[in-house]
Amino acid sequence: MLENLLIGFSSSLSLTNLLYCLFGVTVGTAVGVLPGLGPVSSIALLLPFTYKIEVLPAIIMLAGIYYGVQYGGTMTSILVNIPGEASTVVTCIDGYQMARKGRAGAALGIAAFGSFIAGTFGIVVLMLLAPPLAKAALMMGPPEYTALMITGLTLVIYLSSKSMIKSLMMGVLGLLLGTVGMDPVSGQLRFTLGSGALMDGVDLALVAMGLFGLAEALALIGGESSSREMVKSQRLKEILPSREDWKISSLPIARGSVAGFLMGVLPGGGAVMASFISYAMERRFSKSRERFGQGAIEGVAGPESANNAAAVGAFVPLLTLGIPANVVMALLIGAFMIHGVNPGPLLLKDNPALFWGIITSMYIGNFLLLILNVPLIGLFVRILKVPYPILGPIITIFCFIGAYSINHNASGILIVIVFGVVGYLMRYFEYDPAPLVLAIVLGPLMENSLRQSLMLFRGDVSQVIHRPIALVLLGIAGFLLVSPLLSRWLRVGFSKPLIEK
Amino acid sequence: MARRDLISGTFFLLLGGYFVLGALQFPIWDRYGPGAGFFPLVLGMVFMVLCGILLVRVGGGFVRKRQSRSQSQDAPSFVKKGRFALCLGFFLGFYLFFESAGFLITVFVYLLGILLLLGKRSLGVSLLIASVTTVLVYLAFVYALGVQLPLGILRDFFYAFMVR
Repeated sequence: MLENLLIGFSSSLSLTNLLYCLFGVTVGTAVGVLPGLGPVSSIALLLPFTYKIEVLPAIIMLAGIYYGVQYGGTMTSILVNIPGEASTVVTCIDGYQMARKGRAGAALGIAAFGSFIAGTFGIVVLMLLAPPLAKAALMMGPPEYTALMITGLTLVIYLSSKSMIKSLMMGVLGLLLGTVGMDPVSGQLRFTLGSGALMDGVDLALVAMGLFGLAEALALIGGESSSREMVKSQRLKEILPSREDWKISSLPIARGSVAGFLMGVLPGGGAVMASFISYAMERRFSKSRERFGQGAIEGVAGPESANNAAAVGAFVPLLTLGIPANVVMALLIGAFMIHGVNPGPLLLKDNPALFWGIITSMYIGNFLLLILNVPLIGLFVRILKVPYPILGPIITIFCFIGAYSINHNASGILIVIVFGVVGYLMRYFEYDPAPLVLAIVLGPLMENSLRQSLMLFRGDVSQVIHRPIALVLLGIAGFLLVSPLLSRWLRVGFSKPLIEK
Repeated sequence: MARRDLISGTFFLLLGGYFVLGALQFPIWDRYGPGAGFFPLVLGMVFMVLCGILLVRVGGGFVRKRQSRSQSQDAPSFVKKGRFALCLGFFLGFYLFFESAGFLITVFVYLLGILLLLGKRSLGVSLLIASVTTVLVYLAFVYALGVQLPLGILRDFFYAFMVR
């Protein structure tokens, strides 16, 4: 192992590779900050440039963009309630509340350190357990994926701070919105209202920008004035997480790292679901659940660690089996193939310098991100010193440009406005947007795997009893759904005789 | 609270009905398995059942009793309806004029209007912020990030400038 690491570091620590790594993580951070510009578009744009460079620096740069985006997306989520990336949507919930209470520095700090720790953890596990994990992931078929997604969504609904029935409604509505657009099997257009902009479905970035960012802007510019505390000038030491913050956040970071990595390994799972599940887990484990949604630091530490660990976990099936876990990984396969390299089981054997060079470059990339981000926290926090009547309209401009740049079409702006109003009304009517957002991500994946499962079972749902993993997952989901009824029934059942007495 | 649930529950029930009716326009099951209408039909029906449960709870007075205690403190008040409508008007104006008038004019007018009318800033400050922000954001997106933004009615002016 040590020998392999030395091979890797000797490749990745060359000046050229270091510069490409720095360039990648810097671009990734910048792309993550801007809503609407995701890793897919930036990697796709830079892919042609990798023709001219060697394979290792090319992959180092593109991988740097991917995990740099996870860092960058956090900043806007915490500071202005606009998720730069889908995987940082859940960070808005408590991160922004921390910022409103003057604790943006602590939120950004714990997110940066948590991401670094989780990223590093992911890389170590990637080194040690990549091949067996990849084989285990292959044991999951369509029924297991369907069950996993149902369980993940149910967990988020179960742990929602709002009414269970309303959260369930939002989960199902999100899945329904996920069916908007072209049916992947038959090619028929569903629920597009005749709009070309909806042919590709409801874009998650637009929904998230609307529900979180524009709804907040509507509430603050159009409604009552911001109750956010003014941020006083502070030294870097004063705005970073305190010892108490670290004490509270250490376990969430550990749990987020493990859960995130495992979710990243699974195709289709990825950073978004990992961050939501981590948030749900932290609420479950917390002794004071009522703090969640009000600025609980665990609500930032867990999901931020999870999305970074998932970003690293996604490299397991890519490097060991040559299977992309998500679209970004598919683009990376393209970058490998441009140079005539086939990622897969033979990569480690045929090209150890490349394999270990990529892995060790991630250590360096994570370290560079920490150096890049932590000193800038004080600067970012100063954004909050700008009065909201000035900052708010500028934020909306970024939202609108982000929405426009997705398809270079103004209909994206209209979709953001619609979801902004929906988000504003959801607050008024007390609906939780988190299950809706997660369900929009999972909708197309779930429909696809459900249809495959039903074809596999020839329409006989009872065949699921022959799939133990799926059965256990569905059992967990079912238990989560009936447990509030069960606990109420038990409470009433036990208290009735006492009342009668 | 019960009134809010009644309004939202009814709206969502109708929305669920739209999805169910829409799903029925597509094949539900064909010889290969579930068709394009299967998933939205099942979900639409589940959604309508959930809406029904919410409405039954409202009718049964469950919600009033339980939620009167836990009514959220941060639910936005609709007191300043005029400000909300004006803000929404600015958003829609931005959407309507963004491509035809172009980025520079739309963003400048949008920022100036919103700062003057909703931000209660003086004309001088609003003009300064609107013009500086418009130029900086344009330069950052177009030249640093390579994002194409519409020039609208200024296109000819820009092309003439570039040719010269």
